[in-house]
Amino acid sequence: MPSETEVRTALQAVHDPEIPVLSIVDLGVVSAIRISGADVEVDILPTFSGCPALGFMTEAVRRKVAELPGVEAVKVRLCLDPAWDTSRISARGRLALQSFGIAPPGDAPACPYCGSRETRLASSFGPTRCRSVYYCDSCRNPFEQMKAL
Amino acid sequence: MEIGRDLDGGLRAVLREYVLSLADDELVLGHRDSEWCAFAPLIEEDVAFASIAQDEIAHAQMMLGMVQDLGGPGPDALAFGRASSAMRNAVLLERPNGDWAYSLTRHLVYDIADDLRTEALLRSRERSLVLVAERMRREERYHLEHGRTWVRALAHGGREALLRLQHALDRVAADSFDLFRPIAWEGALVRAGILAEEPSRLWEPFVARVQAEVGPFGLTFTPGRSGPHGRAGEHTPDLDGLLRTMGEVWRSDPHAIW
Ligand SMILES: [Zn+2]
Repeated sequence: MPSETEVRTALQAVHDPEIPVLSIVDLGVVSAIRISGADVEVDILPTFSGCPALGFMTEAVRRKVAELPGVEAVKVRLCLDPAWDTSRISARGRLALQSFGIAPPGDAPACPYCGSRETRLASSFGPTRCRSVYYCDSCRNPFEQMKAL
Repeated sequence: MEIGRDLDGGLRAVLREYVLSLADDELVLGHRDSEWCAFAPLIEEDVAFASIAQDEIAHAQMMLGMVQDLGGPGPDALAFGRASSAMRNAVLLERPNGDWAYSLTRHLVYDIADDLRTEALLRSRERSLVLVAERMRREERYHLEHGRTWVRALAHGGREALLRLQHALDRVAADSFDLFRPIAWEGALVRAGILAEEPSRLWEPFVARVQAEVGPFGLTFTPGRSGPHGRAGEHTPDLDGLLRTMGEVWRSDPHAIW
């Protein structure tokens, strides 16, 4: 029978397909994990409701947990309670976003390229559901920020 | 958490009607929003309208899932398989996109209505309604801000822009009562604690909020208590066209798995 820590550690290897450096554990979408004998049930909190990566992440979680020794059945449940919000992203997750060139959520983001605070919102709606577009007045690059939710 | 598990059959049926009307508003407007993709005046707005469309349709999908839990068919069959007479959206949302001023004005007015409606849902006794409303409100505030920013920008765009905005507001006003028209069974939902107050009681706060939003630009919002009755299934040929396009792929093979 696997331990909850083993399951969580395994899930560190599942990534958001749109932000490949960010694990779904650090994204804060893995909620409760229930283990009973060889059966594991994982609660996943959907991020943005129109997120097309959700189905992919659910299936990846199921496959990853099924690989653990001693696991026979895996059930992944989508759960709206508690509601996911961007405060659930861990400190390591925020650093991963930054290194990927996406400013973490929060007011007046610093430019992920040059660190300048001279930035302004260009559009709340970016290339994916969860990102807005900013412009850096110092290094004159557009960059993306994960929207606060 | 499944909705309405401990409700009697009659209440489940009226709650299903109510949730269906909310879902249909989001679904139909979401489809109209998607029609701006590749046609908006700026590429940022192609992206913005496509994103907003994704949100609205995802919200519709969540609520159609609740309709299924309350004893209806699945979300796909509800979205793609109904005739217009079975649609419960307000007629305002099925009108063609018109010009840029009309699309933005309609969205802003609808987003204000939706804000009031979802805020009231937060006080529901049904936990699943509260959770869906919370989720929607986090995303809808970006829509509200988008509409506000654009209406403000257009209002400073000179005489023609103002005339077009006022014309758009007049057209939206003529269709607005549909959003909050009293419904025969709304009292039953309030008595059961499912809704904190009758949706029709939001009408006056709604009109006041829209007027407060547009008044500073010299614009007026003066809707009457009349107009079309989409909630009763009375729709325009424009909705038939929309449903034909939206359901085309699904109808080619309703049992296909995507
Ligand atoms: Zn910079």
